[in-house]
Amino acid sequence: MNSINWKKCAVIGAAGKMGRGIALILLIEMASLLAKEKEGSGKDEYRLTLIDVNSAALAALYEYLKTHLLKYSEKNINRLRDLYKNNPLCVSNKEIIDDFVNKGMQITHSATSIAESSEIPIFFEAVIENAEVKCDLFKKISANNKNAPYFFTNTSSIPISLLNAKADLKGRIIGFHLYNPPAVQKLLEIIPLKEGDPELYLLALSIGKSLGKTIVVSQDVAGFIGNGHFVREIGVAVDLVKQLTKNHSFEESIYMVNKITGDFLLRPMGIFQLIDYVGLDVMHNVGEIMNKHLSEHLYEDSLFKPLLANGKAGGQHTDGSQKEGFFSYRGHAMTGIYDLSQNKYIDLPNGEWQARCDRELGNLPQHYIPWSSLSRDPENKGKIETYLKELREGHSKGCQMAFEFLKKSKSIIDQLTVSKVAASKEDVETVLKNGFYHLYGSI
Amino acid sequence: MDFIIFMEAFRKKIYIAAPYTTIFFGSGRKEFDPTKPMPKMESYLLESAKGTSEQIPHANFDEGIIGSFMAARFIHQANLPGFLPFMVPSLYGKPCTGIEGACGTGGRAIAMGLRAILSGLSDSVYVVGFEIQNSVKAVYGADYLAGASYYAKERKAGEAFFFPGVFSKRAGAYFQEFGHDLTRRAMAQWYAQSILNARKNPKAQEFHNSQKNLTSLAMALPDPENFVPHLNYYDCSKVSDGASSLGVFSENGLLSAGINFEDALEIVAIGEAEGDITLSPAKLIELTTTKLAVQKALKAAAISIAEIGWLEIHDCFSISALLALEAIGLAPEGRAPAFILDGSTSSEGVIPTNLSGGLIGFGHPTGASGIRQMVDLNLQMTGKAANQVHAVKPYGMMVSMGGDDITVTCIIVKRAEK
Repeated sequence: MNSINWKKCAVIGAAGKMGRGIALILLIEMASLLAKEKEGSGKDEYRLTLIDVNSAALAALYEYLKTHLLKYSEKNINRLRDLYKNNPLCVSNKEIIDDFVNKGMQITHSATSIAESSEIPIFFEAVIENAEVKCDLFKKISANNKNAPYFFTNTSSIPISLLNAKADLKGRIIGFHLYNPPAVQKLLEIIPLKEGDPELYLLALSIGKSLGKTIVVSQDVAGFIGNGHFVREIGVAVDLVKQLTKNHSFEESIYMVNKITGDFLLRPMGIFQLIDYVGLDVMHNVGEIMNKHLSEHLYEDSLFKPLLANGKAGGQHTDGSQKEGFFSYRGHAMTGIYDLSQNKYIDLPNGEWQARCDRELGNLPQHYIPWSSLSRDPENKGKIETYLKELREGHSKGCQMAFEFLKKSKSIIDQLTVSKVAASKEDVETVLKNGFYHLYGSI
Repeated sequence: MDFIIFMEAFRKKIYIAAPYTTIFFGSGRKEFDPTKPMPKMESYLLESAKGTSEQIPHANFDEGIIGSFMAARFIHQANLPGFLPFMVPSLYGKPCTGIEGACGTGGRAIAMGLRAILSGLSDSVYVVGFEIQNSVKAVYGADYLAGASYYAKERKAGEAFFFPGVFSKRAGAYFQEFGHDLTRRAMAQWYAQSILNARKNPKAQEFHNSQKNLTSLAMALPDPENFVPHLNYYDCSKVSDGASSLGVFSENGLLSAGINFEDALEIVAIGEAEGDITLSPAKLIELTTTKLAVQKALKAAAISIAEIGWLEIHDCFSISALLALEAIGLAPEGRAPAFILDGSTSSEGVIPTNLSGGLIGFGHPTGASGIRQMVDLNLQMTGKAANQVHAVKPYGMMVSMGGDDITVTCIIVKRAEK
């Protein structure tokens, strides 16, 4: 296993949102290793094969990788100068950056079929979250391969054991779940098979470390840690919306729960805005998968289905801007909220009804500081503790609802720990802090 | 060996008048948007020429001098003297010269103007300096600016951001020798003072800077992983575009131009010194060449530093300011932090310094800065400055420095008298 050369690897589904992000971080790492090689040597040791059925998307992927490799180089010039310190031919920043980008792009290779992948030992898989599609690919790749290749799957919810059995991989698969976008998000969930190959596990750890990721190991249970927590929190949010819709409209309820789970909980965004970011279709799919593979019925689609039926699926445009879901957006800025009864978006801010909802929720605790400031404050621990104390003792409806939500969130953390999906409470908190940018763990 | 040579007084009077500076443009100005087209070199040159010419009732320069550090790389333009007749049509058919001395270009350009007057070949010289740096991203501009050092020997081992790296080393040596905390606080106060002054100068790059808690901001920890070990971004002058110009005149030239004496300064003395660019500084905690240039100027002027009422120093970095104050003799070695923290360099202090905002506050288009310093001294000493301070002492001093204390010009001026 240790002899497996992951410097020749492939990304399947490379042109997709996650696929291209995975391709980028692999390319950065491979280009960095190549930069340290003696001039003229090493080039043939590295090859990143980008596989996707969409040839137009592959062409766009090449430009995407080149653009982002350049951006990475310019932003990390200090690191690059260190990589090139023994290369006398590259002196100026420009010479170093140009060499890094050019040599990096030279090791990429695009393919619309798996035919050219017969000698590749490792595949990073990032196709759609569908067990049949994934397993079909795994079988075809294995059949076409001279070796017995290994698969690092980016599934965020499908049990690895299911994929292993369905594709008859005989243990040659491990969960390697990166968060979106992989180039920015530090978190990596590694999900080994229950009695999987320890060397494959060590290889996954080693690659994750090379990529600079914060690694948390999850047991092979549908949803793992990240979605295990998120889907359950969505359930709590949906229940809260249902309670509120007894006396409020759909959009008022969504607005209030979003504000509670965003501002009141000191999170970067409310839960419905987060669902928009991930994509309603993605979360619906994940929810259904978890319902299928877990004994508890976690996901209830009553809020998602009407929006999905009306084409409000969230996610991102190709330029990275946010698509409409529960909210509408310009760029990433929220501009409206979905009125289910009229199938249209109401502008935000919106004077009367929004002010009424804000009054009903009441004031934020006295020592509220926005997430954007707190997250950059190295001395935030005491400020967060003060805030949470005020939240717990607050009499406003918003404080009370937020604190109840937090208690349920804590129960979810406990459940994931007790059921051994996560090895410890700290592992769950690491996922929440690194993958979801929470500022604090369980209360 | 004693390098201090007594200079005779100039054999004729030399005047500075018609000072003009464009806005020094870059991040910090609210109109700056890197995604939109920016003013080009031609607009800065024409504006500065117009600004100077309009102050001269009978403008008829005998020669022109144009300074820029790296126009050849930033905007692929050399043969800069060819632009002088474009800027000042009366210079067509007359001698025009290009000058380069890295960030000390401006000081050298004024020095060449002075020589032209002393030579007797000219009675009036148009002197302009400019730079366009926003044509490339800072990560690439850093390579161009590294040309102010011994590139072949130093670039490879240098920091990505080369000159911040050079002065970061000096800061590190200063911290080690004299202590970190007080020095760090003085550097932060220097930043705050620079911004407060810049806010009073509508053409300054930091004029729109409305940040609160300036000193606290500037106490930010350095980020060695992404920048340099001992300096933060607040310690550094920014990338700038701009131009400054003025006229250098004999008495005859001043009178012929129709300029009033009360609008002019007289150059009392000049101290010029060049270091050896191939050698590393003998002492990282001293600007030796600057010290020499200032001593020469003071000796030639036959005055002491205590008689200087206005001072413009070359604060490309906050640590450069501290070291310059010690090189000038305003504070003993290691005592510049206390000198700054006591408020001595503020507008109410014993020696108001960089009332313009200096390089950190006003901006630093490298070819223009030395001339901009003289422009600001002219405005202060003739009572026309935006951030006006009426000093009691009669003299003004500017120190223009190129590279790591390599090319230094110190000029002492006083108000012109009939």
